[in-house]
Amino acid sequence: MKNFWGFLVLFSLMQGVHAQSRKHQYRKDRYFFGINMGMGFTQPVLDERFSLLEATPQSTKEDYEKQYGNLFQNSGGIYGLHASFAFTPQFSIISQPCFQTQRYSYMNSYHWSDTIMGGEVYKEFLHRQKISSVRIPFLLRFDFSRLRFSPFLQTGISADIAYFASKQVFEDNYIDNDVDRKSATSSSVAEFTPHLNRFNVALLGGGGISYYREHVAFSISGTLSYNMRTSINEFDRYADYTGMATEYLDVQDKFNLLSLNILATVMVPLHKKW
Amino acid sequence: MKRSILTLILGVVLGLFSCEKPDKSSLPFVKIYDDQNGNRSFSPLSMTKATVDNGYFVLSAYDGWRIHLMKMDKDGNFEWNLELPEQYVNAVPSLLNINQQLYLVCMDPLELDARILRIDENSRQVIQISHLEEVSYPLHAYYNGTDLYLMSCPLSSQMTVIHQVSQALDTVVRVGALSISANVDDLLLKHVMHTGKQYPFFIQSTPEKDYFAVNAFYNYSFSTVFFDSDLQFSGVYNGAAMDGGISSLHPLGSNTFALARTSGENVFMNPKAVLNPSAIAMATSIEAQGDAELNHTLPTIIRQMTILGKNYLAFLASSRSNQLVLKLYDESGKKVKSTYLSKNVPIEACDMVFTPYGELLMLAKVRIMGSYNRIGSIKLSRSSLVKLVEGE
Repeated sequence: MKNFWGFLVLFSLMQGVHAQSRKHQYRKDRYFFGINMGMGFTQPVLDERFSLLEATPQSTKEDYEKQYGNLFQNSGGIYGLHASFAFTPQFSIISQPCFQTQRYSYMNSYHWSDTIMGGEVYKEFLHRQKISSVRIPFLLRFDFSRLRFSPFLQTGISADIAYFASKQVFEDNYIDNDVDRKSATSSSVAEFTPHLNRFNVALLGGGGISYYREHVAFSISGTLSYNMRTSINEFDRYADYTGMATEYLDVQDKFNLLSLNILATVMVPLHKKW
Repeated sequence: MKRSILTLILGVVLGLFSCEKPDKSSLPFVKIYDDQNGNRSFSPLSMTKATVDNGYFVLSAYDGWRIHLMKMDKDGNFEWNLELPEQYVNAVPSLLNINQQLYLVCMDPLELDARILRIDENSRQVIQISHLEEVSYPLHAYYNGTDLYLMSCPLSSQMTVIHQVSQALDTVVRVGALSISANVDDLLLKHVMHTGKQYPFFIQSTPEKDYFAVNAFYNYSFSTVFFDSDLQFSGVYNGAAMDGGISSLHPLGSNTFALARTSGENVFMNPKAVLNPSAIAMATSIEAQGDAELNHTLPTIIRQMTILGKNYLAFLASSRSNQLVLKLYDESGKKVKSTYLSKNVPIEACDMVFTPYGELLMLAKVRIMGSYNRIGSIKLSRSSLVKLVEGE
């Protein structure tokens, strides 16, 4: 119910701004070009789990499911260009081709008993993956106002081309859901690219606010992005390109990446008046 | 402008969804089967297809000569396992499909004679169906489609014996024997208890069923002896004392064999060697291509398979640098591909099966975390095999 009232207030404000904007038009140009920078947060959305180590009745665990970090534990950078074309003062199409880095991490742990020596062996691993890609999005943007400050909503699709991915594993000998990267033993950084579906399509949706001046415009946007294809190539899931599969008992799950991208954009208009 | 942008977007979307769909019914996998007991060490011995479904059975030795049986599904997922009671030890490395029933042959640790056990796949247990008092220290079992043959090497006898077992699997009906002329008890005990060198004992029959090739101790050496169909000695390819000789043999017909042999510390392979079953010769006289990276102490497995309607021979061996090496040869004996599987952990090839779905399923011993020997299975899918032979 709280959400409903919140939405109603927000919608009323938007409508107010929209009504006001009919009187004062600050956005006079159809073409804008610019640059953008920002950061993204990434979360795998799991479809199917895989494990290289198969649990048996003689295992300590019933399964070896990975524990993924949350969205805000996996940050990456974004930088690129901005181009937009306005069909009307409030309705435009936007492309923001950019380089982006997505990270995701997960943990797993194993335990064996050494019954002769009376010792216990504990292993906890933190797996960190980084995917660098070129993203070419096309968004339809609706501005609620023609004022200097203009909130907007946008939606669209994006073509993502992953050109490099890497992976590193950190390990310690305590199972406490925490692997300190500073003190843990780490593997070398291995290339992970061949495991990926290199081409992906993402659905985008979000909003933000723009500020228009005569010769420059700024915007801050937040966009949710959901990759429609799974990130890992099913045929190469178990191929040990990193050399870490049997060494760290690692195989990637089947998942789609969900990202929240926060972008700051500086644009200049081409002065082609309405 | 608007139209061109919309056309571009439409083109991208159509392009994405018009790609050829790959075959997802056969996906590769790597599986390692866990046991939290760090002291337990597994040595996989043999793998065969289940008769009641599409899964596979894996026979292994653990804690020396104890016997472990495991069932997995066609995707390598664990289904169930069974540790056989202590009254059954020393399973020979052969899971036998006899008239759509699975059997294994092992030994009683006190009586030292062979026991034949039937695997009841539905009730998940084994049932002893016979014991053969005259077969002591069984080493290998072979079913040629009509008869079961067992190899044994009784302690202190200095003899290798081949036994033909009756159709009811309860008596020995024919015997062939070889004199070793040397005491091999120490080597034999280390072999059966998995505490020393594992010898590649085998019995194979030619497709014409006119000869048996038997890899066994014979005449101061570990040799490949040919018997005729009446289990009478015919010829021999002698190994170099107790080291070296033929380590793997796959009969192709017309006295042609795919084989691997060891000499010194090297492994040599020949996908199309012509052997004379009546010859008395040295195994080193068989022409073969050497491969210095392979570990000569570990087995080489040879299987025939079909990819895109063509026959190939697959040789699976273990390298000295902890990788499996898979070599594919075409019918003419030409090598078409050599590829490496796994990295960075000690791994040994144990068995290999070409599945009814055109996949290659491999059984391996994997030492995980640098400490624990575990059962591992690796499957190459149909499309992986096609890529291999097409050189992609």
